[in-house]
Parts: sequence; structure tokens; C-alpha cells
Amino acid sequence: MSDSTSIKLDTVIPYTTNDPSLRAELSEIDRSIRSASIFFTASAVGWLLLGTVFALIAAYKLHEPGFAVGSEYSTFGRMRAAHLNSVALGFGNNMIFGVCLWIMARLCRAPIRHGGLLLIAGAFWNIGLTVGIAGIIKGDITSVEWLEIPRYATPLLAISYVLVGIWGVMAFRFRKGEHVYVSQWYFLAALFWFPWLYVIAQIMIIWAPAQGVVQSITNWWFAHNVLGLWLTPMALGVAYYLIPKVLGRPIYSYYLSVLGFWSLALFYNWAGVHHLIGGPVPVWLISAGIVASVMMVIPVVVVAINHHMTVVGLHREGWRSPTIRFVVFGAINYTFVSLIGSAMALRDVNLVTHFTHFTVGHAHHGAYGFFGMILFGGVYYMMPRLLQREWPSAGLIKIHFWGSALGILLMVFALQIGGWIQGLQMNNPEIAFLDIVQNTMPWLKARTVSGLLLLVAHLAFALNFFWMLLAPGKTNSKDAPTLLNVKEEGAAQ
Amino acid sequence: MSEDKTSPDRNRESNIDSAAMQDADMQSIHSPQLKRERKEPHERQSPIPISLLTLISLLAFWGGYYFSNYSQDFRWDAYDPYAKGGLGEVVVEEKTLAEIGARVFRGQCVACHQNSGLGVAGAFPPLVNSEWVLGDEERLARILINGLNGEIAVLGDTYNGNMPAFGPHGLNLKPKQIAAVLTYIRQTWGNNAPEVTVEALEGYHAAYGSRTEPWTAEELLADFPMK
Repeated sequence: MSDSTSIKLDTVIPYTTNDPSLRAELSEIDRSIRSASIFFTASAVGWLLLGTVFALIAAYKLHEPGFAVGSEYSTFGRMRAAHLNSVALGFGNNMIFGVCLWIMARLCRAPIRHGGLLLIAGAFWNIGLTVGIAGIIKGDITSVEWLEIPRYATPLLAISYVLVGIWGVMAFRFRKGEHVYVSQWYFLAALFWFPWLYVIAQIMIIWAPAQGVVQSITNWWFAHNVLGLWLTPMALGVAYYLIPKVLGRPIYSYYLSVLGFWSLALFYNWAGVHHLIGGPVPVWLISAGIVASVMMVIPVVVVAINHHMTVVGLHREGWRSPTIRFVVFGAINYTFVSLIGSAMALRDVNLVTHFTHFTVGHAHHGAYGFFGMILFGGVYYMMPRLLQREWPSAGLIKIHFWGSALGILLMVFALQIGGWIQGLQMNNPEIAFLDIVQNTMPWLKARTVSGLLLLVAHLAFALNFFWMLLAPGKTNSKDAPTLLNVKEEGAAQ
Repeated sequence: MSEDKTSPDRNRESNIDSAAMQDADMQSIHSPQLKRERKEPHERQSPIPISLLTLISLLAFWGGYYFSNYSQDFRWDAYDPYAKGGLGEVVVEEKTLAEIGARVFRGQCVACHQNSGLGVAGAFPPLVNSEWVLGDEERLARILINGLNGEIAVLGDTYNGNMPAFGPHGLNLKPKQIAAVLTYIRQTWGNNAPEVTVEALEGYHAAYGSRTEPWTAEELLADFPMK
């Protein structure tokens, strides 16, 4: 980047260029985690493509039930579960391991020790997941949502997760400096929350099943908290790192950071039982879940204010940076998806949305529109540092962004409008059930179209990623960061 | 701020680092990607806006209101958030033997003996007016507990009996369920024989429960001839 284009930002905060010692430190940290982070990210890209294909098969079958009925391996139930586990545990967790451990190491100012062992632990995660998803397709699927992986694969997943998680905790243990930044709080907490959730849910549902409705309560406590206490804090940590880092502006308020973190930690854990509204669960427990779900407005609004006040006035620079474009899109969606989620927990709203496609839209809104997009931003920032190369194609980044952004928005609108109509009709005893099913058809077809947009986006991302990884000659020769809309003034990366 | 405090340390460390540095490392610290990076992030100390504190207070107030109105005193057996004054006494409805039996019959027997109790001609014998059903209750209980195999004559027709066992060596129904279904078939479709009590069935259960072989019609008729 030439200096002339960046004068405006230089006045905000100096480049690290001014401090070679800091550069040496960052460079050593980056080198220590390089191979592990690249391995995790490459795995994530692979699972993302596979998960998208499973998703498209499942989505297409919902309006063309005659499609691919020749074999039991491609039935809807198995494809849906294969999709969920590929994208949540394959894409999501590998992205987290790749991006969040790197940011954790940088913020702790401590190089990762024994990066090779971390790589092996990560390889076992992917082996366990491959066995698990093959098991799902083969027919060994469990009947528990979000825990579909057969029990012969889960111990391997739990053990390799613990091994990967230890590196994050050890980085924190050997940190330098006194100040612990907000991203580190989120990462460290989530590294402990996830194994707790996963192991307790496995024991109470699969290995030593609890009696009766306690199983369902555990199931939804787990399933909802995977989003809220694992994906959410990880994505927020990434956003808290990248926004000030790329825009060169400090986070607006330390106090808001504290309030946002602790209110998330306090309220989210309770929220999952709102999935069981109307079920045979003691009503006080459901009411507690509803109150906690509405209280989630607090961390959401707090984070929204904190991010907005940091970005405000720098929108053009943000728009040009691939990283910030993805991160800001994700952060805005965090606000929307969470406020919709709080509303969905209210009994009167839930009466309509429960058992409809509205919930499916909501899940994708959060997991992809928020978490996925922020982690994509993380990869766009991390890879040039790890490889010391630039992204080969700005055009492919644009295709990725627009395919993902329009795809997920179309999906959320289609499923939530269609789902709301579906819910109103299901509450009306005058309308025959099969008519209601028929009425969802156009919305389900729109959802398949949105899936195709996402597939295009993911192919562009994968192409750009592996091009960068495997063809250094071309990308080494670039002397400026890959930015979007470069003709406009101002630059940021 | 902490950044300033730590910078002397950082310089010292970096001197040690750079002494040990090799060419590749020198190259990487001068890489354009690192050079254009901005400082590691930190936070300002802006205060929390008063409007946000107001929003939090309102939410907390609503939460307390909602929870105290819809928690039904933390009762484990309260499932309706809108119910007034809890559930009161739980009333367990007592069902008659024939009602329980109707349910067992629909679940276990109806596929062969049919809803009408007439069975299927040539394959499954009728229960309506059958001397086996209306006659000795111990004979009937034995068939249910242990099953029946081989030829059996019912109302003048001969069937090849293949009745499964419902006792401990079969589908393992409880004595109460067997007593109920016997009562049901003896008092439905115009049949009119006395009920079979749970106590009587418990006795038969004790007597024949350990037998693993199904009965034959000959054995049964030897012990309990038709009247």
C-alpha cells in the first residue's frame, strides 16, 4: 500500500512499522502457528464445500421429494444431519481452531509451543469427524438433534478437541503483558464452555441417558449453547480483534466490553429451554428460559454499540477491506438475529414460529450470517500474514462476498416469511395440513436458490484460497494488499 | 497505559530475538503484510451511555415481573403458565377392568381376532359365543399365559392353533392386563360371562408363569372338559 493513500488513517493510530520489535514478535508468533492454522483453515474450506453439497441435496428434496430416492444413503434425514455436522463441527470448529488460536497467540504475545503436536491433534479431529459423518450416512445416526454422530466416533472427537483446546489455554497461561483484551476473555471462556457442553450432553443423552424430559432439556440446553457459548463468543472475539486492528482505531469502551461479556455468560446458558415451550416441562423452567432469552438483548445491544461506535465514520475504508466488509456484515447480523431470537422466545410469538421453517431460517441467520461471515473475514486477514502473500483475486473475493451476503439474506427472508405464514396457517384448524405443506413450496424453492448462491460463493472462496496456498509465484509478486473497489480513495487492510 | 509501560521490555526482548534471527526471519519482519499492520487493538474508557442503563433496568424489571407471574411457584407438576392457583389435587381416574381390557385388545389381539371378535374364517377362531371364552376361566387364562398350539375345535370348526404366549415367557403382560383383556372378551359382543379378577389371574400367573411350552387343546380339555 502506498503511503499517500493512507495518510488519513496514519493520523488515527501509527503503523506497527514504527516499532520493529513488535513486528519481530508478531512474526515469530505467526511462524509458530503457521502450519497448524493453515491446516485447520484448509480443512474448514473442505468441510464447507462438502456441507454445502449435503445441504443442497436436502433442500432440493424438500420440494422435489422424488429426487435421489434410489439409495438409503441419500435420504433427507441422513443428508440433513450430514450437512449440520459438516458445517458446525467441520467448518465451524476448524475455522475456530485456525483463526481464533492464531488471534489468541497474538494477543497473548506468546508463540505457540509444539505447533506440530497441535497439527496432529487437529488431524484426529478431522479423522473423528470423517468417521462420524460416514457413520451418519451409513445409517448409524443417533436420534438426537445436534448429537447425530454415532457413539463410536464421539470419544475421538472429545479427546482431540481437548488436545486442541489445551493449546489455546496454554497460550493464555504463558501470556506476556498485564492487560487481557476482550477477545481473549471470549476465547478462553468458550474453550472451557464447549467441552463442558459436549461431554455433559454426551453423558446425559447417549452414554448414561437421563430419564424422561430431562433428556430433552439437556438436548436443547446443549444445542442452543453450541451456538451461544461456542460459536458466538468465538466470532465476537474475532470481531473485537479485527475491527480495531484493520481500521486502526481503539474499541470504543472497555466498560461496554466487560458488560457485554458477562451478560452473555450469565444469560445465554438459560436460554435453550425456549425450544420446549408448550412441552411437558415444568413451567418455571420454561419461563426462566424465556426471561433469559429476552435478557440476551443486553449483551447484543452492548456489543452493537461498542462495534458501531468503533467503526463509525470509517465506513468507506471498511467497505474496501475484504476483512471488514465480512466482519461488519456479520456483526450487523449478530444484532438482528439475536433480537429476532429474543422475540421468538416470547410465548405469543413462539406459538406461531414453533415447528415451522422460521426456526430453520433463524439458525442459518445466526450460524452463517453472523458466525460464518465474521470467520471468513478472519481468514481474509490471517492468510496474508501467515503466508506473506496477497490474495490472488479481488474479483473472487467480491463473488464470495456477494454470493454469501445475498444468499444468506435470501434464505433468511424466504424461510422466515414462509415460516411465519406456515405458522399462522397451522394455528388455523380450518386449513388442511397438506394445503399448508403445499403453500411452503415457493419458499422452499427460493431457499434452494439461496443455497446455489452460497455454493457459488464457497467455490470462489475455495478457489482463491487454494490458489493463494499452492501457487506462490503469482501472488508473491503483488506488492499491495488485495482490496475491493481500489479506484476509490482511502485504503485499509 | 499498559502499552507504554511494557514497551521497554518489548525492546529488550526484541534485541535478544534479533540477535538470534536468521535471514528468513529478517525477511519476514520486513514483509509488507506485517509492515502495514496497525497496532494490536486496545480499548478506550468511554462511559456506558445512560440510555443503555435505562434499557437494562427496564429489561430487568420486565424479567422479574414475567418470572414472578408465570413461574407457578416453582412446582414440578405445573405446566400451564396461565393457570390460576396451581393445579389443586391431582385426580387419578380409575378405569374399569373392561376399559383397560379394551385397550389391551386393540393393541394385542385385534389383528387376528378382529374388532368384531369373529376372527377370520379358517385361520383365527372367533371369540363371540365361543365355549373356550365363556367357559372355565382357568382354562382360558392358561391359553393367554402360555399360548396354544395344534388343532382346536371352536363352534364346530377346526383351526390350526397358533396363539402366542402373553405371560412371562411371551409378551410379558402384567396379570392385571391379562385379567382385563379376559374380562373384556367375556363381556363384549353379547358375551356374558363373569369377570376375571386380578387376584385370580395373579394366582394363575404364579401357577403357570414358569411353563415355557404352549398348551394343546387336548391337554386343556383333559384338565377342564367342556360342560
